[in-house]
Parts: sequence; C-alpha cells; structure tokens
Amino acid sequence: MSKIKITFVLISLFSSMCVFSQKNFTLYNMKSTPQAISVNPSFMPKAKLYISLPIGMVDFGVTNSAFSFNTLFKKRADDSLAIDAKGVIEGLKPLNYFSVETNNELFGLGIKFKGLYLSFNTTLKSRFNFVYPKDLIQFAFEGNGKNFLDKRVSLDGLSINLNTYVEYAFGATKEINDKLTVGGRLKIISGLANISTKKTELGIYTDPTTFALTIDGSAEINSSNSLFFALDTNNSATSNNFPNTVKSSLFKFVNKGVGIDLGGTYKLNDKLAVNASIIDLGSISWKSNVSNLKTNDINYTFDGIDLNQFLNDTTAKPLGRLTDTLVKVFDYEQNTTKYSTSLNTKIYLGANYNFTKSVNAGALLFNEFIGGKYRAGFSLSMNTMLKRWLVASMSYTMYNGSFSNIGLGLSMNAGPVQFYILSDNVLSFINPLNARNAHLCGGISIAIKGRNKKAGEKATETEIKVQ
Amino acid sequence: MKIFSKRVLSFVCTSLLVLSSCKKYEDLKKISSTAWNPNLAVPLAHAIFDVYDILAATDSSDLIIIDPNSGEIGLIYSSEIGSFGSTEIVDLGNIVENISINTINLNIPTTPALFGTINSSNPQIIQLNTANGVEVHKVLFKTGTLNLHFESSVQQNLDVTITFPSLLDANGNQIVRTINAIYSGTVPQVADLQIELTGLSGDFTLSNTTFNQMEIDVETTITGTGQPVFGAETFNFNVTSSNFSFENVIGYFGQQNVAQQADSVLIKIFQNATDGVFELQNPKIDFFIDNSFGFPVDIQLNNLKSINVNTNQIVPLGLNNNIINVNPSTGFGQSANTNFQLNTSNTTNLSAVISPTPKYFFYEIDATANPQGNTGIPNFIEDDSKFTLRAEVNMPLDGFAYGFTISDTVDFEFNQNTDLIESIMFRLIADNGFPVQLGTQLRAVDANGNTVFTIFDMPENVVEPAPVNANGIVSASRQKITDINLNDVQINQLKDVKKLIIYGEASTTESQNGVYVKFFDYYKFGLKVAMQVQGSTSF
Repeated sequence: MSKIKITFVLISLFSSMCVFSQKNFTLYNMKSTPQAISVNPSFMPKAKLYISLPIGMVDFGVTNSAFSFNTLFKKRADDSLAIDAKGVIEGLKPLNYFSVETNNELFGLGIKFKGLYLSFNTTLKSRFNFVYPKDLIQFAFEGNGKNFLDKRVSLDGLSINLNTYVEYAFGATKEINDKLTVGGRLKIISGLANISTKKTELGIYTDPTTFALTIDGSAEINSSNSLFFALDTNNSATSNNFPNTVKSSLFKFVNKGVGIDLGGTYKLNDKLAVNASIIDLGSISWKSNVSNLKTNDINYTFDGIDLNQFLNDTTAKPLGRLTDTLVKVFDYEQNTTKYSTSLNTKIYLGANYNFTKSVNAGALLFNEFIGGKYRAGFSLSMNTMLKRWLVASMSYTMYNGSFSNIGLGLSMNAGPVQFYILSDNVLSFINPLNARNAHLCGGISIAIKGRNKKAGEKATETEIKVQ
Repeated sequence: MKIFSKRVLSFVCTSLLVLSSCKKYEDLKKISSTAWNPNLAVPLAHAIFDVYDILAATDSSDLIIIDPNSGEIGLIYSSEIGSFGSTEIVDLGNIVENISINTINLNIPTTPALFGTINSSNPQIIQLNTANGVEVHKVLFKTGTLNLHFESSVQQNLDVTITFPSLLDANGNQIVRTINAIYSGTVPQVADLQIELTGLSGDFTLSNTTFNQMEIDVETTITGTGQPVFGAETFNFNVTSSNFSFENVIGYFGQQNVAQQADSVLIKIFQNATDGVFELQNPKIDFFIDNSFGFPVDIQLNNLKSINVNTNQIVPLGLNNNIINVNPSTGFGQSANTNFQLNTSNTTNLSAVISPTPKYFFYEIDATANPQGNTGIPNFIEDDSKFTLRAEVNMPLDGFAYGFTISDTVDFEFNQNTDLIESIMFRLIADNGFPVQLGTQLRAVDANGNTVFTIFDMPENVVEPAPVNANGIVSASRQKITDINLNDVQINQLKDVKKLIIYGEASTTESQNGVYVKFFDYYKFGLKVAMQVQGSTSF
C-alpha cells in the first residue's frame, strides 16, 4: 500500500476505535480506588495514604462518532475492500465529531484520618475535538455537481477545539455520618493552550443552472498559545520562542482558571446507596499569546470571471482581480483580547445495590455539556471483590447512539502497590475494526491501607460494600 | 459469592483476552484502491455585452452611430484618401536667364581712352518657368536662392546696382544688390551674388499686367580709367534659381488633375461572412471632402461597386450623378467642407449592393481643378494644402438578414493532463436582447486539417432571437441554455487538436418572413459560461 493509503488506514483505524472518551463509567464504579475521586469526590478511598507519581493515572480515549473501520470499508466482489462512500455518508449525522482526550496525573497525594480524606492532585488534561458536518464529507466525496445542486453545503458547526491545562486539585472527602459522605475538590488551573471555535456558520450554495457559487456565513475562533493561529506581530509567539511562552504560562499561571468538583453519597439502607457528582464546573481565562479571528459576515456569489473587465482592459489579470475580491470577501478581524472558556462540565447520577458483601450492581446516568450541547449516557455495572487484593468491575454502557460498549476494570494490590486498568469499551480491543471508540485507563500508585479498627486486621472484602 | 462465581468471572475475562489476542487484521490487507468520482460544477465567466462590445470590440476605428432621438444605431465603416501634394500641383520651376547689356546701352562711347563718369539704367525681365500651365501671380517663398553671375570685359571701373522691384522683404522693401569692380588691368571682371529668397515675397505680374515674370533694374556707373573702349565689350548677367519652394502661391493653376485614386472600405461586419442575405432599409454612402486648396475641384466618382471575396460576386452601384462639386477654401489656413451622400434615392441599387454581404466597397475618384476654367477669381495654394476624401459606408441597422454565415479559425493548444477527467460539460447561458438568432457548430481539427471531432452535428441554436413588435423593436429577451458535452474520448483527443473551426449562422428575428428589425443602443446580450467536470480517480 502506498504511504498515503497506509496513513489513511491508520487514521481510519485510530478514529474508528473511539466513541466516547473519558466518561469513566467503569472507574465510577471502582469506588475504592483513590482515582475514583476524580469522578465523584465523595468516594472515600480504602487507602489511608495514597501517593501517585506520573504513572499513577494515565487515561486515554479517542472517539469518532461517525463510523468504524467496518462501516468505512465495503467488501467488493473480489473480496477486496474499498471505501463505502455512500454508506459512510448515509450513516453520518448532521454533525459528527472526532475527539481525543488524555488525562495524566502528574502527582497525587491523599491522607485519610478520622473520617476525612484530604487529597491533592496535579493532573495534565488535554482534549481535542473536531466537529465535522455531514455535508463536508459528502462534498469531499461527491463534489457539488450532483446532490448539492440547488442545495446548500452546510458547514455550520464545523469546529476545532483544543483545551490543554494543568489542574491543581485540593480535595476533601468527609463521612458526615453513617449514611452520608460528601466531598469536594477545588481546582486551580493553569491553561497551556486553547483553540476555541466560537462560531462557524458557513455554507456553499450552487445554482443549478448557472453553477454560480454563493458562500455565506461567518466564523469566529479564539486561540491562546496556539502556534497555528499565532499573530504575526511583535507581541506574538513565534516558532522560536513558542515553547518558552507555553512553559511560562504553565508556571506563572498566566491563563488562570478555577474549577470545582462536588459529590455526595447517601446510603439508603445496607443494600442501596445513591450518589451524585458534578465535575469540572469552572472556567479558564486565556491571556497569553491570544489570537482571536473573526470573519466578516460573508455573502458572496462567484459567477465566473467578468469578461467585460477582461475585454475592456486587456492588461487586466482576471485571476488577480478574483484573488483581490476574495481577500476582501474573506477579510477578518484579528485581536488579542483575552477570553474565557468553560470547562467541560459533567454530571454523574448513580445508584448501587449490594447483592452480597463483595458483589454489587450499579446504574449510572452521565450528563455532559460540550459547547452548549447536552450529551447523556447510561451505564449498568457489576462490581465485585474477587480477592482481597483483586477488585473487578464490568459495565454495559449506552452513550451517544452507541449500544455496544462493554467495560471492564481490574484493580490489584500487591502490598502497598496498587495497579489498576480499566476500559469503558473493551470490545474496541477485541474487535477494533468494528469499534467507534476506545478508552483505556490505568496506573500504578502507592496505596497504604490502614488496619480494621474493630478486627484489628487489614481491610477485608467487606470494604467493597456500598460506601 | 453465589450469583457470580469467581470462576465465571475469570472465564469471561480470560475469554475476552484470548479473543482480543487472536483477532487478526487480515482485512487490512484487503484494502485496495477506492474510486473517487467527484463532480464539480463551477461558473467560468459572465458578461453583459452591449452593441459597442459586440459590433466594435475588434477595432476601435469602427464607428457606431446612435440616433440621439430614437437611440437607433447604425454601423459606419470608412476609409480615407487624399489629393496630390501642393508641390505636385504648383511647380515654380527654375529660372535660367542670361542678361547681356552692350556698350551702347551702357552709354559709353568708343574711344582710345575713357575718362570721366557715365551712368546708365537697363530694366530687365526674368521669366518663371512653371509647369502644367500654372500662372503665378504672387509667391511667398519658403526656400530658394537666386544666383547672379556677373562678367564684364569693360576695362573701366564699374559700380553696378541691381534692384528687384518684384522681390520684397518682410518689411516691404525692394531687394537691392551692388557690384563694385575696380579695373586692375585684366578682364573679364567677374563677380557673383546670391539672393536668399526665404521669407521674401515675389510679384510676378509686372503691376497686374501679366504673370510668371519678374523685373530687374540694372543701373551702372562707369568711371573711366583711361583705357580704351572698343565698342565690342561685353557686360553680362547670368541669373539662375535653386531650391525653390513656397509658403503660398496666388495665381491660376489651370484645369489640371489634382487627384486620381482608388480605395475600398472594409465592411468588417461581413469580414468573416461566407454567405447570406442582408437587407437594410436605408443604407448610405457618405463622402466627406475637406479642401484647403484655394480653387474649386470637381471629383468624379467612378467604378463604385461591392465585392464579396468569398463568392467573387461584384455588384456595381448605379449612380444618377457621379460628380461632387468641391468648395474651395476661403482663405489661407482655411479649409472648406463638402458633403455628398449616396442613398437609395440617388442611386439605383444601393440596397442590393449591400445585400450580398460584401467584404469591400470599392470606388475610384478623379479630381479636376478649376472645372469652370479661369473665372478671374485667383486660385491660391499653400505648401500644406490638400483635400481629403473620407468615404463612409453607413448602415443603419434597420432591416433583416438570414443565412448570414460566418466562420473563423482559431489556433488551439492543449497539453494538460486529462487522466483525472471523465467528462466535461460546458454550459452556455445566453440571455439575448438582440433580434438575432445564432446557430453554431465547432469542428476540432489536427495539424493536417483532419477533423478530430465536432461539437454539434448540425448548427445548434445557442442564441435564440428576441421577439420584436410591429416596429421592429425588441419586446423581450430570450434565454437559451446549451450544454456542450465532451466525453472521455474527446477529452483525450484534445491534445491532437491544433485548430478550432467555428461556424456560425445568424439571422434576424423572423427574417424568412421579411420582418424588419431595428437595433437600439439599449439592447443587451448576457452570457454566462459554466463547467461541470466529472472526475475519475482512485486513492
């Protein structure tokens, strides 16, 4: 295969492995792991002391909402595979997205005493999201001469968003009484880089008779510490000093942000408990190397070169004139005004039922707001402590139109060393060609458990019970 | 753990891992090229043409006239010819005169030794040798020189004063020259004089009594030296001229021919026409003469005819009167205009002369000065005097045409890679506000003139004629969309095409029914060209 083809296949594979990233349905139900406080700060870890280094939590997920490898390619009569353009297009929604999200805990420390768990976590978070309209893909495959005659190619909603920041989270989890546990985390955020598409309303209309092309709409993109959009002025970042400016942003908190996580768990009885959390409620103010681009309102019709101009002035260069016109039409404003972006706020609503001392089932409703759009997911899980040192969790999740997501999580302790690995969709590893999402989260950390006060023994399997 | 045994969970986990590890990616090896066939539709060009763009775009020297009241337009094609130059009409010729004065006229007696002083006066006439019967009365010289060579065998001292009463300087003073010859013992005594004529005026009428003659007065004073006078001594002047030219001349220049030329008017609207009928209601041929000669001229028009070079059809124009009386200039620096029009009233077949879509209108002129002879009114001419005759074929666009065929050949070169193109469709959208229909056909030929392919087997109407009302005025425009399709074979053949032969056939609205149509300056023709390309590639 040619390099282009290999590249295309890899991108297809990579993108087709993903759907929903970092919702952490499975982690939510592994409440005893110290990392679970990242999805609900009211989850009280078993460990009295928790220390995490950069490999304490590595969380990675990719998503392509539109198609998997198997829906992208179609088998032909000779058993070869070719891109099924028609099938892909038919399977697209008006807006589709591809996103990559990583969370890497750089440092974590947690101490539990007298029913209070205090924690401090430093986490590098990055999320890239590319939203592409169905018409964009259809236009690329078909051109404008077939189905787009007398129909607007809608690029409304086409956007690219990138948000990378380091959060310093100070958390506290407190058992209020036997039934209620609450927790919260205050996050001080240092923004590293951001691209934020505030508005994209673009369209191309082709007149069915004259083929005149009418372009309409407008776009607005903000960016900070993004070299691609950097201003070419004396005050802007350049390729030479760009890394330094980003590093400076990191430690000087140039792009300040604040966020909070809140959570609560309430035991209704010995069998049943409910819990809820709101994660990443806050915003970041971007100030360093800001470049905001805003196009004029565009409404321009190109109906070919004006022959009158060309004939009346033989020295005229029609393409040059056209270029000048397009430059004026697509003129844009550029400024360095600071701007704010909100964090991707997530809301978890869950319930757990204990079948035995070591087995419980969970139900979880996930809610998320991305760019003002609401997305929801629902997960059912079964969680068990197989051994004192081994905890497992399985989940089934429906999210964003995908109904084939089987999650699996394992947490193992070898002395003070805790190892865990989980995924919200293990099928993406079993059958990656048919998956549209992938998620993997894992890490090694130090988790020192305390003695059971009543029995004077180490924590037993009863600790997996509903908290 | 009753509901879910640890063994079951272990089995599930193990199975998943095994399945995962066993999954092969054989499908990746099956990926082959995928056809990509985008279809792109783009506009190429647009324009709105008016009558100027259509009828005069090729040559700005063509003239479109507009009736200021109605806006009705016509076409004018013209050519210009001129008369002979002024020096060809009036040639002052040269002066070659020998003046010989004997001792008797010098009042000196025959004697062994002459003493004392003796005076004499001898007026002389010099003849101007003009050509073509030109009678010169007065001349203002532009250039010229009179050369006087004096030679005498008289052995006395001589004082000679030469006066030219006919030559005046700018201040009105007569030109006078003197020769002082002191006898030194040898004869002949010789002297040379030159008179620069630039800026001098000459009167050659001897006080309005004649023409072409100039007077010279020779006065001599002879002082005796004691030498003998034999009576046979000579006293001669040789007068010649050189480099004569004039600023102006007054006189009578005779009935000479002042112009004899032939010319033709290229009627560009028919330049590429090969056939057709073209009838105008009121064609005209105008002659505009601009005359700065100070004498009347008659121009005789001869051999007027139209020529269709394609069919060799020649249609002579019948005239009721072929003489144009050209007015003379009224004074120096002035010119007089004379207009003469040939139209359907004073010709027998002017409409028929235009009908065969001729490429040229041909005519000859023969111009004669002073057709009435010498009327006593002096002629005048200046060095830059001339007359010009501009012939204009004036075609008010009021009539009809059909079968008006035109063809043109244009060079073509196409070396682009067409592998990615499966087909191309060119779309012409003609919004026609002119009462003209245009059918066209295009033939692509190779370097040897062999047809590679044709666009339209028969001429296809790409422009529909706009309808007209009872007065021949367009009442609405008509749109016609024409798609020209090139398939993959023709696209691949484009590289072999070296010339495009474009054939067109035009006719006016309802021309076959003899409907007359008119053209106005507000008529417009809109053209849009678009292209739809079907691509074909794989990746």
